[in-house]
Amino acid sequence: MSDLTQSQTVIEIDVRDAEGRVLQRYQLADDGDYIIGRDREIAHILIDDKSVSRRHAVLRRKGDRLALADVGSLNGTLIAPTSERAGARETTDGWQDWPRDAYATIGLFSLYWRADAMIAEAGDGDDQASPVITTLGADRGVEATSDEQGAEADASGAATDLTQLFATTELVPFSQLLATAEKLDIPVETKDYLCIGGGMGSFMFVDHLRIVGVSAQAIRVIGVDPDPVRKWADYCQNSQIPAHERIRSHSASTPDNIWGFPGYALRETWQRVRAGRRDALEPVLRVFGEPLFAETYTPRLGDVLASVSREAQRIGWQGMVRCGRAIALRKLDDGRYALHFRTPLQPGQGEETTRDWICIARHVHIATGYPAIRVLTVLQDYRRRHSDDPSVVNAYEPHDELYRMLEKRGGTVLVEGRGIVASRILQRLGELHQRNPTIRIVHLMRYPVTSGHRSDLARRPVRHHVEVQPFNWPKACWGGALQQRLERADSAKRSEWMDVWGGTTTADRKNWRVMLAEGTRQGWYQPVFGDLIKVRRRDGQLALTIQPPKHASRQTISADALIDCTGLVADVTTSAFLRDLIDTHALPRNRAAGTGPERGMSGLRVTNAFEVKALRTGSGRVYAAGIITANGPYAAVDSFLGLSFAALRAIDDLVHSRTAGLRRFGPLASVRQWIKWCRGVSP
Amino acid sequence: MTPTLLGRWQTRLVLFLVIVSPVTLVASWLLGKSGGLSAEPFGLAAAMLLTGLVFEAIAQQLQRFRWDQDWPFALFVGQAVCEFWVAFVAIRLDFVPGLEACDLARIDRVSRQIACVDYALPIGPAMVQAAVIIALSLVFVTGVAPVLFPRWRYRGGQFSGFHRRD
Ligand SMILES: Cc1cc2nc3c(=O)[nH]c(=O)nc-3n(C[C@H](O)[C@H](O)[C@H](O)COP(=O)(O)OP(=O)(O)OC[C@H]3O[C@@H](n4cnc5c(N)ncnc54)[C@H](O)[C@@H]3O)c2cc1C
Repeated sequence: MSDLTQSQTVIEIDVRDAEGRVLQRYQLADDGDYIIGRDREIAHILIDDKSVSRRHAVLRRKGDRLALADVGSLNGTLIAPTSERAGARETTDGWQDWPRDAYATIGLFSLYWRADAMIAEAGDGDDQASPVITTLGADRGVEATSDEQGAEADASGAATDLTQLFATTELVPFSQLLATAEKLDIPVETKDYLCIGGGMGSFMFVDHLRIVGVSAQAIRVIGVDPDPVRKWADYCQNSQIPAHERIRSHSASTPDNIWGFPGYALRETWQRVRAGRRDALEPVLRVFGEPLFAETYTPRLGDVLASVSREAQRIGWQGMVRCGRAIALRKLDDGRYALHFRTPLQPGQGEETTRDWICIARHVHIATGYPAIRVLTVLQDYRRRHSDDPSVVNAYEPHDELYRMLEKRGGTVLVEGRGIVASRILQRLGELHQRNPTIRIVHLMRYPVTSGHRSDLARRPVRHHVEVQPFNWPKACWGGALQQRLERADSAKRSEWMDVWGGTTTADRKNWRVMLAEGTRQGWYQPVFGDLIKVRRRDGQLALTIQPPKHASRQTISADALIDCTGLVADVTTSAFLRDLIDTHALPRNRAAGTGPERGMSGLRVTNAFEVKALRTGSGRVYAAGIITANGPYAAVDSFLGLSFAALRAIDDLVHSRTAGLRRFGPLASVRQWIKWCRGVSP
Repeated sequence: MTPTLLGRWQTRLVLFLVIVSPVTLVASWLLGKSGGLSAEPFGLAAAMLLTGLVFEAIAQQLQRFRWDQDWPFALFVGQAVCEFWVAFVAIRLDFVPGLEACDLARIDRVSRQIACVDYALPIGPAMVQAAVIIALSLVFVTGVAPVLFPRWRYRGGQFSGFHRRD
């Protein structure tokens, strides 16, 4: 290689941030592998940002060609064509060709071949001085591996601290773990099943486990909150869905009942019959006619919450859950797993505020939900400057104060986003407008939408610049032809289809449509298009600078409040637990889909039965569910019905693997359990 | 519901076994003269099954025009009603082999053609038989199948061959 260096031309690579600014320029002087990552010690192409993994990807130069490979810990390395002509081809060994007119996505950053990048000599005159230029020559080490330091161990084999023991290797010797735990006085408990998260995904998995015959004593659930619905209920409450309001879910999507029968519509009909109401049949008739002859039936938030807490009681959830935060999961050398978790201490229980624990189990289920709320960069900037301004909020955070303020004083509100939460917030603001007519709504969307996506022979309808579908995916993604197609497709096809089927949509509800039409006519609702690029405070108001699409000139809008409804979408590595898991075990990730922020949301790679195969050890198995498996074999992972499906699939897989001693859940057992459910007795 | 074609066919066959056959047996016993069984209800059931299998294929193609690729319950019922009429008319026009359309015929004096006086498959009982079958099928699909076969609803109505292991 080194004798080639003299004759080689230099290839220049630009690292651009999300706004397209060139931050760094690297000159690749010769052939070989270059590591891209966040770790100063090992990365040749260094991108110091949380969205980038320590060792993210490897860039290979061969002659005047480049290729990229994922190195496990990556966070969705993606090569996307800048023009339609160029395309990335993935070879079987994981290398993707990187043609000159394509760019690569690394976390929130993009890498480009520099325009006319083939220049004669390294360090050739470049007067555009802004980016830092680094020349990588033959002297850099090729394929450096991270030098993991061994944990200090004493004579008994016990490490001096747990983190250190876990850092040593990905396969922890059981005896050493016990010795360490004993020495550090960390309690160890052993269970058959361990569920990490404790939210809806964990709940549905545990519900299925209990129903197929696993006893409550064999299950441990670790969750930040002991109440499985807490997190979801908070999101609903913040995004202005009160208990009597209807959610975006199907009648048969019943997190408290694995059969989907009786559905919420039938239960609501029954409630109404008992109350002697004349419209008792309306819910079931709606299910019969939806969505052709009636608006799709959706259950009330309060009914769903109540049903889940009833089921939690039935299966003995309280006895299984322990309030704590999962820190790290490791494989043991005996085919099981060890979880290090921390529980909060009651006040007055000692100096520290937390206590360490270890739970050992052969079967692990991970459902930690949304890693974080995504706050737009402009809003982050603004918040850093005006930390306690209640007039700039994210829809998923508590912000009732804002509505009280608006109702009292009136004013203009900018609502950003076009998803289901945006619709709900708009509806809430519309209701406020009835009470205070000086309230005006400016609705900011990135670009106008006049016709919907096409898939197969159908086209998705559009209302008020928003594509509509009853749920967040076409219904056949839950258990129909689309799901089957997805399960059988390769990762490229999957992300292509999910891009079309998903995206930002809302439900076509009449009250919302009527309100927007009225607001448009009377002038208190106005849609605008573009990206919010700056938020400032000027003369007691917000000055919002908007960059309309297609390079039109910027416009500034004055408003009194801003509600950002653009996202819960955050990269799974924002969760420290998942980040550690991904980095330690080099877990592969799914190829991301979409064009917006959802690009950052590439989930853990799972099999069609939701197993994280890269974590398999001996007879031990790890399964995952929820948004952390996004863009995999199943589209609707982040929904109750999807979680229920994932649970059943994982359990069937365990039965099939014969590692858990579980029997197949057949029709007789199913009917017997269903009757127990109806009678409300423990499974 | 979001059935696949295989799901439609498989569910159809299961419905034939558990709903259509017993209902038809009862109808045939009720219509049978002097304690015997009548053949016509079986003719209707068989004709409806055959028409049904063809209709399912057509419905599956139409379903592709729907964004959600779903087939609402109302359409299922509409589809079943159409199937009934097609099967019924086919029997009346003597298209169904092995089944006499006419029980009693006479020669029309004006047109000099044979006209049926008494059909072997009278419309009233046929409609009742079909209505009972459709209603019970709806109950089976919405309530019984999910409880007996908890995986069925996730498989586009298929009992086997939906998933692929990877
Ligand atoms: C506003 C809103 C409305 C929705 N409406 C519907 C609907 O109508 N129908 C529907 O089907 N779906 C709906 N969803 C989606 C539904 O909420 C999710 O599918 C479901 O809650 C996801 O379950 P989960 O277990 O993956 O995550 P969660 O329910 O969020 O649970 C994850 C839990 O893990 C905990 N956790 C995270 N990290 C750790 C750690 N390191 N250690 C321990 N615990 C940890 C979290 O604190 C959390 O409690 C809605 C979502 C939102 C935001």
